[in-house]
Amino acid sequence: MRKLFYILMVISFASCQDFFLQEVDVKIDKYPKGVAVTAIWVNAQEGGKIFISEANPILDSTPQVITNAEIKVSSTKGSIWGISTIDSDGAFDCIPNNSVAIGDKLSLQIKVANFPELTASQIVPDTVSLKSFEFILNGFSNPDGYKENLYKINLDDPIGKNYYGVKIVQLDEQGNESRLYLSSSDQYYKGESDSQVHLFNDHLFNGKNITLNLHGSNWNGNEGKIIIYLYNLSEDLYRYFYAEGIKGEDEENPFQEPVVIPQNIANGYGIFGIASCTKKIVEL
Amino acid sequence: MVLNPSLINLILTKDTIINIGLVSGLTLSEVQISSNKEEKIDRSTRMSTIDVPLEQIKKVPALFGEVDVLKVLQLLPGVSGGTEGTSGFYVRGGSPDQNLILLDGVPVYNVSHVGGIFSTFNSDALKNVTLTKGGFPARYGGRLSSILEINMKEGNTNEFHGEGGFGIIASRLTLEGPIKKDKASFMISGRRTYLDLIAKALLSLDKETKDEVGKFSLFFHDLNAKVNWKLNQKHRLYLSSYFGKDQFGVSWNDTYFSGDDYDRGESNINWGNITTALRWNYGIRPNLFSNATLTYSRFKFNLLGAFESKFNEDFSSYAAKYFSGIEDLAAKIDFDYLPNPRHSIKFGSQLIHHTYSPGAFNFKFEEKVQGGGIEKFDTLLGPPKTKSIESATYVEDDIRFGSFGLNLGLHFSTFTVPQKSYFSLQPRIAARYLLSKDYTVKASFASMTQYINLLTNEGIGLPTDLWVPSTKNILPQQSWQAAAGVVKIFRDQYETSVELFYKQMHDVIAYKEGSSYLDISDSWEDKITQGDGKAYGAEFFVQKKKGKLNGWIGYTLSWNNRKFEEINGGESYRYKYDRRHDFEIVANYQLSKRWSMSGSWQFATGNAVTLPVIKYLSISEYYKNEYYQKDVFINGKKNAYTMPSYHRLDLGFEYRKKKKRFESAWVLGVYNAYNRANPFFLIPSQKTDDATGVTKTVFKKVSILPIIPNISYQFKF
Repeated sequence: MRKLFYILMVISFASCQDFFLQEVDVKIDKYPKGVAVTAIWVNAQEGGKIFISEANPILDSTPQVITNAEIKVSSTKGSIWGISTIDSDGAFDCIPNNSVAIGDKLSLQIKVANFPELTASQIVPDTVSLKSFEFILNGFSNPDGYKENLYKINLDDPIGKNYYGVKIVQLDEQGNESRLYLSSSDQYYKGESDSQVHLFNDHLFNGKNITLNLHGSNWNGNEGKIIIYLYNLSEDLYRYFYAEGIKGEDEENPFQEPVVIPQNIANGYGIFGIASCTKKIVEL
Repeated sequence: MVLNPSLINLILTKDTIINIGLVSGLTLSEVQISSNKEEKIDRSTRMSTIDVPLEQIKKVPALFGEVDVLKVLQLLPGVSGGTEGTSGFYVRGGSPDQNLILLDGVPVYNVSHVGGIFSTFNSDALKNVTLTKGGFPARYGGRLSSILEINMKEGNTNEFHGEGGFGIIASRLTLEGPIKKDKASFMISGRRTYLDLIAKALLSLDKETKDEVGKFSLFFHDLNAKVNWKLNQKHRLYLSSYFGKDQFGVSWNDTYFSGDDYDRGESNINWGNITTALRWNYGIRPNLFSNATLTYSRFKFNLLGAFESKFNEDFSSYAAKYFSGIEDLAAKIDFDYLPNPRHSIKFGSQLIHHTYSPGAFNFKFEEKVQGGGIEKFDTLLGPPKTKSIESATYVEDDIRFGSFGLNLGLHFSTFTVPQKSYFSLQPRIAARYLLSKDYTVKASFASMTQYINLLTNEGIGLPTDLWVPSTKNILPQQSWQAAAGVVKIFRDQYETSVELFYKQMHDVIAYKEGSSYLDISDSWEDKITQGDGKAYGAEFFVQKKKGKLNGWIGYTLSWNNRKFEEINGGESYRYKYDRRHDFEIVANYQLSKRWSMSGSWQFATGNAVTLPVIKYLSISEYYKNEYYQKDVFINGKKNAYTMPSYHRLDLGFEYRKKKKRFESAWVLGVYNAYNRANPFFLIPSQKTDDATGVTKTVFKKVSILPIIPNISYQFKF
């Protein structure tokens, strides 16, 4: 009996090598190769970047950046757009030559050889002004008693569905920006995008005056200037930022429900998202 | 000279005297009379119900040698296990919270120890286990998918007996006997793991660690107790209780040179159930019985982190505690009326008061700095306790005429939470027809309503799972199920059945896309969505309960889908545990007087899983006008892919020695005997081909339970 037990123990340990993580064949439907576009313009007046990549079936080789695309941006309210050459990130810069009107429908057309033309459109959201801003030193108490600074952003929410993004940066003496690491305990707060834009939606305060609260510490000291960016995001961009945020939070968590990254590019993949931005510079 | 064996069939509906003439001059050895209350399956109107004898359950090989009732149930047709190695079970396409698990009639809310590796039921303390998967009689309600009734032993009223065992991770002891002969008896059973004792011994090998580490706990324990008191021929009282607790904790203490200054702290996680039932059984008339029962059930989960520091005059302390749970107080009365042997009527009522604690944080902070005052902070965050009242009334009529048997019933329930009340009338019908001496056909229909929900990830029975009520925003879950089947008993010992079932579920809950059960920052109502479910299939079952070779073979062919407005773009998708094929064979064979062997093998279609199907590159801004590249994966349709199949063989060998009043056995077992790497989950991973330098995505399966041998010693007296 004892011998049998020892033999089993030895077999057990020997056979457990490479047991816990093994490559496995999974039959995945063969999706065709395509093209993916990332065009996120958080300030419609300034335009933004268009980044184009191959979109490959998951089991194929790593996708490559596409730099030989033909891009056209058209407008329904007369804005004229110029596309500059590729920058160091492999993205195209897309800049308006004149002012962009609220409600303008911007359409994107991208041609890449051997693929169908990709199209997407977005309507420039209303600009929402930042009515007032208040900075309260140590104005927020964390549950553990630790004090943080409080940033209060007041605005008049227009009637209809609106989606907001807030980003606050600190300026040093040389004028360099550094991000502030913030959070919020507001019930309207919906998390933070991958690019650290704090998200809110107006489902609970539609058409009312509201104060959005963020809190955090200024690691570079509580002096100098800060810039508050208030974005009014298109719904597509809000949903993209939101999905990006929750996917990023728990990417390694196998028990998280799968996150669907929103797509709005016809004949391809990716996102065209647009926002209107107002900013305020405040001396602390 | 021997007596000729004879078989006498009895239908016991009243006191009966049978005279059996014996040959004179014989000395008879002890005669044991045993009875089985249940009708044979071909005679009963009930269908979709399985009794597994405890003796058979105890023989099924188990992980670490710890007999587990719930894992044995996973080996039955129509029942599937969730994640590898865990005790959660899924019945006919339902989720774990749709199973009503009753221990002596009291709901048990968390049936897992160590995150689901072991169940809370100590098999030595149990008398019987019955699982009902459909055709629910009207006396049951409150869950959509199954009723699991587990009853504790009542204690031997004549003799003192005991049994127990020592395993590699736990030991157990059960004692039972008369308190007053033929009048009152008791049963007490305990089980405890001892991983902490081993760990403590290992830690104490290093003196420095031994001094720093204070208390160390890593164990679970169970205690079952029951008292049975026969007051007179008409009145009987039963008091039964269960206490179970999991405890994982460590405390430490660093003292500085002065001896007055220190850093000390503790981390602690514990959870457990308490259930208690007081039942008064009253024989009002020879054909009218009542059972009045008061029950209490509580599940509680606590997580504590505390730290305290003193240096010179400075002092700070910090404590964070998370707690959640559910507590029930209930009263019920049930009547059984038997107008004649072919007709029985059951009726009764129940009232339950639920109190839910759906996860709250308590933070405490205290600081004193030299020359300053004391700063204190104490706050409680999270949803407040919620209360609800659930009531149920039923009537059930079981009648036989000729070859026909019918069980008709109505179950009416109400549920009241703040700002909302719900009502539900649920018809139940079950019928059987004796086609011939050998064949019986059965059919049933049952409508069910469920007012409480478990917020859980699908599969692992974590104690962080939260029980929450239906609210004004969250509607009660509802279902109806129809089933039909044929039953045949071969050679009076092989119970065979084939059943077809179809179940529709409405307002079942699921986490929204992207929600994580680990995320406790949002309100639970915001994290979930409600939709519909559908499950249908066929089950084949052959069971042999007694004999030298006993066990069962089961096979289920089923389909199981969900449809939610907010998930998968509103399209119907496969449930995670949609297993097209599920086959299991369990066998126990008596090799000789002393040796026996047992084995179980199961094969199941892999779990449905959502996988990425497309990848591309994207950019995100990380600094003003500066970007970084990142990979984006586009998921295919929800649960559109199937993980590799699950199959596993467990084996057990038993060497039993019997003496006059003492019986002992060595049990040697192997879990996952051929070391199948069953997938726990899949992850995408990058792989570069050394020859071409091309990087591609591959999928890797993560497996957790390899071949695991075990040995245990059991005894009985």
